Amino acid sequence: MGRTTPNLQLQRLPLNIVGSNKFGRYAKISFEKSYNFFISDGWMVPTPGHLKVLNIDPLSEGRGVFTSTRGNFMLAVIGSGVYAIRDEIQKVGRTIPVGDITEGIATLIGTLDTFSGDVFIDENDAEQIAICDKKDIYIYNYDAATFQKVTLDFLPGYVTFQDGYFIAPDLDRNQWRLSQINEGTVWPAGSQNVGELESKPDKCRACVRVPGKGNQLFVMGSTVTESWNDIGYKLFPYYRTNSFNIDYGCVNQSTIAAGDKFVIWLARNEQSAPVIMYSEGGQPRPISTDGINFALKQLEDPEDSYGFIYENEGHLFYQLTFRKDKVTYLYDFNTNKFFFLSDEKLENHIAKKVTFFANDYYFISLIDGNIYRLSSDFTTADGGHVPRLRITNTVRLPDSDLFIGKRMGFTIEQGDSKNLNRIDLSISNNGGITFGNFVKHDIQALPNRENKFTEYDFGISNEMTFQLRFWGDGRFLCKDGYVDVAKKAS
Amino acid sequence: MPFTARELIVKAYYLSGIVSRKFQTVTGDQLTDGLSLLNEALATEGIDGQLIPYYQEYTFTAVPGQEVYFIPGLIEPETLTFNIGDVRYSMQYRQRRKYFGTSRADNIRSLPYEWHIERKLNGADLYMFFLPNVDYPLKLWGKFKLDDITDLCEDLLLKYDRYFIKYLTYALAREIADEWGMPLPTETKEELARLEETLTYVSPMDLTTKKRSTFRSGDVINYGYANLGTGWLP
Repeated sequence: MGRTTPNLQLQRLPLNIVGSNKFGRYAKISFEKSYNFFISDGWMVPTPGHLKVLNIDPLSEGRGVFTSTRGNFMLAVIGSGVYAIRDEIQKVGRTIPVGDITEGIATLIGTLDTFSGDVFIDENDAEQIAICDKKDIYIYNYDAATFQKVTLDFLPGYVTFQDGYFIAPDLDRNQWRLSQINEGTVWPAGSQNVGELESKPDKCRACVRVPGKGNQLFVMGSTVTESWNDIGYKLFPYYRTNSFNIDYGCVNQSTIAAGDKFVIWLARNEQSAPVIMYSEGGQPRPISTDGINFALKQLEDPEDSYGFIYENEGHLFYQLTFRKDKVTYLYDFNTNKFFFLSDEKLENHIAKKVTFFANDYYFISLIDGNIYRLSSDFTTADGGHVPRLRITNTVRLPDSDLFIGKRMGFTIEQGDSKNLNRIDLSISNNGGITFGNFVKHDIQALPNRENKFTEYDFGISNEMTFQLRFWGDGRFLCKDGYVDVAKKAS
Repeated sequence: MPFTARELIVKAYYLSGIVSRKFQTVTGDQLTDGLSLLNEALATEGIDGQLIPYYQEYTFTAVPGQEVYFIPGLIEPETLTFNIGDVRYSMQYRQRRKYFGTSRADNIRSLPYEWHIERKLNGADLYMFFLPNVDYPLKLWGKFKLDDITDLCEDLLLKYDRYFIKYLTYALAREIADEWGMPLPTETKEELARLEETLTYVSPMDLTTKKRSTFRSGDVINYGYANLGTGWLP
C-alpha cells in the first residue's frame, strides 16, 4: 500500500502513413510497403483501378497492344488473332454497357502462326504496321486492308520504327536489320541493311529509338547496349557512337519502355543481377536502390517480366511485373518512389502492356484475352476488391528503449462514399517479421466527414510497425500521422 | 460463471499496458510469468496482512506441558481462547518483552492465561503460559496468508470475493509493470490506490479500547485464578 510507481513520459513520434516501398535489404532495416497507393501532394491516394471493356477471347492471353496514331485505331494481339479496335471503345462502360460486344468495335484483321508469347508492334509512314512474334514479322496495311507474313532470313525480335525503317534485332546473331524504307515487307540482307552489335560478344535483343534524341538508336544485347545514330551514310545509314556504350543489356525486351525523354528497362550484364536502368541517351542511371536491387536479385525468374510506362494525371509511372514471381513494382518518376501494385490476391497486377488511345489507357492482361481500361475513375479491379495496404516505418526510440504505444492517429478522408469502407489495423513488435491480429474500423459513411483515424493501446515494445489494410470500393485518402508513446520518466 | 486465474492474469496484462487488449494476445510465457507474479503479489499481502480482508478461526488442542505451537500461515493473530467444557476463557496477549523478559516459574502446569506470537517461516510460533495441564481445545482468530495459486484454471471465485479479485488484478498489473520497468498507466494507478484505500477498511484490526478499572480484577483469567480457582470463580 502506498507504493509509488514511476511516472510516465509521453513522447510523440512521426508515423509515415504517406510513404512508398523502402525495400530494406532485410526486414529489420525497412519493412515499409505500400500496395496500390501512390503519393500525390503529400497524400496517399489510390492507384487507378480498371474495368474490362472488351471480351475478346477470355481463354487466350493478351500478347501485344499498340495505338496507331496515323490510323487512329488500336491494335491488339490476343492469342493468335490480331484485332483492330475502333475509338468507339471509349463509350464502352460509359454509354455502351460492358458486355460481349466486340462486334463492331474490335475487328479480326489477321492471324498469327503462333498462339502465345510476346508480340512487338510499331508502325511506319506508309500505313504499315509491323507485328513481330519473335518468329515472324507480319505487316498489316490498314490502307489496303492487307495482312501478310513477311519472308525473312533472320529471327526477328523487338521491332521499332525510325527514320522510315522498321528495325528489328536478329535474335540468333549479333546483327540487327533494317527494312526497306517505308516498306516493312522487304528486309534486304545486304550490308546497307544489316548492323552489328560490336562492343561485346553478344546477341542482339532489341533496337529502341531514344525519345527526344532525333536519330539516336539504342541497340541492346543481353549484356551491353550500344548507341547508334542515323546519319544517312549510304553504305550503312547508322553510325555507332564510339565514345561510350552502356555496359548493361536487356533482361527481357518486354520490359523496355520509353517516356518522353528516356528509355527504361530491366538491365543486366555478365557481372550483375537485374537492375532497373534508365537513360536519356547518355550513360544510364539506375533507379533501383540497394534494397530493390537486393529484391530483384532474389527473383526466381526475372526473364518473365513486363514493363510499360503510363501517365496518370501528371504522374509518370513505370510498371514492372514479374509474372512467375508474382510481384509488380510501380515507379513514380514524379516522386522517384517505388510502390507495389497487385491483384486481389496481393500477387502481381494483371496488366501486361498498356497503350493510350481515345483519351484513355487500355491494357491487355496476363490472365485473359480481354481489353481493360485503366483509369482513376475506377477504384476497383473490374468490380473486384483492390487490396490497398500500407505498412509504415518501424517506430523506435533513439536509444532503442522500451516504450508503450499509447495512441496513433492520422488524417483520412471519410464520409465521402456510400459504400461501407473499412480499415484493419495490425501491429508488429519485431520490425515487420510477424504481425498480430487485425482490429477493424469502419470508415464513416456519408455524410459523416470526421477526418481522423485514432487507435489506442498497443502494448510494450521497443519497435512498432503498423499495418493498415484498406477495404472497400471507395477511395482512400490519407495523410501522415503520429504515435504517442510512453516511457519511464528519466 | 467461474473467474479463473488465467482471466485475472490476462486482464492484469491489459491493465498494465504491457500487452495490448485489442492487438496482442498474452503468450504462454507471459501467463507463466503472470502466475509467478500473482503469487508474489499474494505473498506481498502476507507481509502485514493489512489488505487481506478475511479473518479466520484456527482450532487446535493444547498438549499438556507444551509451551510452543506452530500455526501454519498465520500472519496476524487477533484473539486466543481455550475451552473448559462449554465455557470459553480468554487469554491475554503479552508483548515480547513482557512474555519473555519477566520473572516466572517455568514448570507450572495449569490454565494457560497468557500468550505471545513470533512470526516464523510460513507461519508463526504461538507461545502460551502456564503450560497447559490438560488438552484444552484452543481457538485462534487472525489473518492467514493467502494460498499460492498453482493452476491457471483455478476458479478464484471459490476463494475470494469479486472485489478482492479486482484488487488482486490491479495489484498484479502493478507487479507486471514493475517487472518490465514501466510506469503503470495513470488510470490503473488511480484505481489501484482507490482499491487499496477501500480495502484497508474492510477488515481492520479491532482497535476498540478497553477501560480497565483499578478496582476490578478484570475479565480475563490471571495468575491467581489459574492457580487457586483453576478456572472456576466463586
